[in-house]
Amino acid sequence: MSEIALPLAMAGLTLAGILAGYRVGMVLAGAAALFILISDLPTAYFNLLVSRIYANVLSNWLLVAIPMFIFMGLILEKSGVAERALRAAQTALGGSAAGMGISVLVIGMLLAASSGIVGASVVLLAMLALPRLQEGGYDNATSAGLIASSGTLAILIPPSVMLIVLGDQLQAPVPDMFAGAILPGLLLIAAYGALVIWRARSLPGQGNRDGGGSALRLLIDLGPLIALVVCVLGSIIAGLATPTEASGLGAFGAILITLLYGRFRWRTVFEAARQTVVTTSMVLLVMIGATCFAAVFKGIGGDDMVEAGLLAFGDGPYTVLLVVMAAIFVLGFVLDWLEITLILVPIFAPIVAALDFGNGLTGEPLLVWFGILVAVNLQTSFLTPPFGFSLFYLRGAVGDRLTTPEIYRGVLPFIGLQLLVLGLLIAFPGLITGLT
Amino acid sequence: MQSGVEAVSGWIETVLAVLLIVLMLAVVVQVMGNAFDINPLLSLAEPVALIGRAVTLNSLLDLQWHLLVIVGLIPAGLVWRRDRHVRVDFLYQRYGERWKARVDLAGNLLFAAPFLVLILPAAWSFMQRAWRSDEGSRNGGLEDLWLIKSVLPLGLGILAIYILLETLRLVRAAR
Repeated sequence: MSEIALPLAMAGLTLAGILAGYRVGMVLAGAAALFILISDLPTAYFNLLVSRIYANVLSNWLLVAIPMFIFMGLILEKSGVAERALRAAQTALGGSAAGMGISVLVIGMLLAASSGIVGASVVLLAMLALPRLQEGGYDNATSAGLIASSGTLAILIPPSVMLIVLGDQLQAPVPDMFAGAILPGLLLIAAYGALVIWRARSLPGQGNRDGGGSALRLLIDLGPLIALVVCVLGSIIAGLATPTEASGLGAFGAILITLLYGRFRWRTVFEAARQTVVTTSMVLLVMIGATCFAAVFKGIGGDDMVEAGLLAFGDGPYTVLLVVMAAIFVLGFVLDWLEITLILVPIFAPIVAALDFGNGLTGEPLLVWFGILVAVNLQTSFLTPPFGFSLFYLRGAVGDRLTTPEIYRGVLPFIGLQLLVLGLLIAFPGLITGLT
Repeated sequence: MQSGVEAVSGWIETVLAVLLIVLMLAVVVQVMGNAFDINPLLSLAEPVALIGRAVTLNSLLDLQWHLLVIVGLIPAGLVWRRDRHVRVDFLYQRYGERWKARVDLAGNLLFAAPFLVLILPAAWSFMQRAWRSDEGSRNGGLEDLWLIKSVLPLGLGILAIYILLETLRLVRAAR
């Protein structure tokens, strides 16, 4: 009993600090410091923490890709290039009611692959698409669910910062993580699309719109953005460039696109750079805190406690996986993807990696499979009421045009689809490992 | 005093934004160098501080993570002051001003103080070890590793100062 008292107390104190609303990175770091002092770990453990911070976070070249992808997304957003592409896609597809709904999905997918920032995607979609969806006869709940879910694709569809952090924590190759996320992403989009078409079947089309515009116009407005996404993603998955190289080139390419459209302004680039600096610092502090937390938690036997807790439900491989997924899903109601990825995934990964699921997966492919399952699970947590981040962003962007109950009601079918896809991915690992 | 801090903060932000753009260019130049097989980019007759005898592609690779460390750590205090560090705020946002101050004060004393007081000396001696052993790159990259290792104590030190100032303010606000 005594050997689990310390790790239990550490987990409890940390959760309390985070839920109280204190800065997450410092809660994690502080809990680590306190439990070095309380437990019988030597004070020299602080030297170990410093070398861990240095080795795992600071001198980690892969992490350079994080600010670069954020920078790329912010340049496309702030220069208005993203918005221009969205309007073009909307004009092209907006002819019928179902087409209009699908256009929101397509736009969400494009935003996800180019900017990858959930907040920006949801807000932009809400601004551009909500009025049109309402005009087209969609009820408020469906509109809300569609916008929130499409915007949340940003966290899953590569290149995504979450997949980089997950790959780093799982020690699974990031290109494989990117490749593994493609079919699941498309599957989700197809599922959403089916729901939209079913909902739109009784809505009148808007025949007066000459849906389409000119094909040339569409090519001009969308072409460069799609080319950029294909180059960045393609070069990583084909192994031509590392994620870091592709991210730097992607940011540079985004600046070139603003030049092409005559939208280049030094102000915009600087504004995007400043915001990237702030975000990078936010992410880095949480990473430093999580590194300290993980080292101390392991040092006082926390890993053994978690493993014992997981196996208490039964030691069949799928039982363990289900318990892990349920734990992440439940914690996803209150915690951010970053904390879950940095704290829980490193604890869960070795336990899952040691299991034989009878699906032929071992080693890296098993980790990639597990990583993508976690990614889809965490993406769902953006949508779950009451604390889903996408719901906050949507609420913030639309003001009084949608009520909170409408938003909650609207996302429920989409959450159902998410869980359905998650089940499919567990049953058919080929959907993930097929492209890696 | 307040406006002075703001001015310096704004200036630091601009410098870091420039460094971020330099980071992007370092990646672009390194990829180009790789593609056209230009390496080293520059050879020097006399060894120069930090660079050593040549600017190689590995120097650029090292420069990239060095810049990431600078861009991520130096503004930690500034971001703290702007209250942009990640919080889980579904409860926090409902508190009144006084309760917010109380939570932050308790957090500063319970979590930030022990961590910073104990990690700073460790980070400092980590940097000193690199300085004494004149540690450099193992693969022809950048020399003088103590320089980049000094960014950890520096960034956390600045953060500690900001937190100390905030704590003094919070003591009054929490009453």
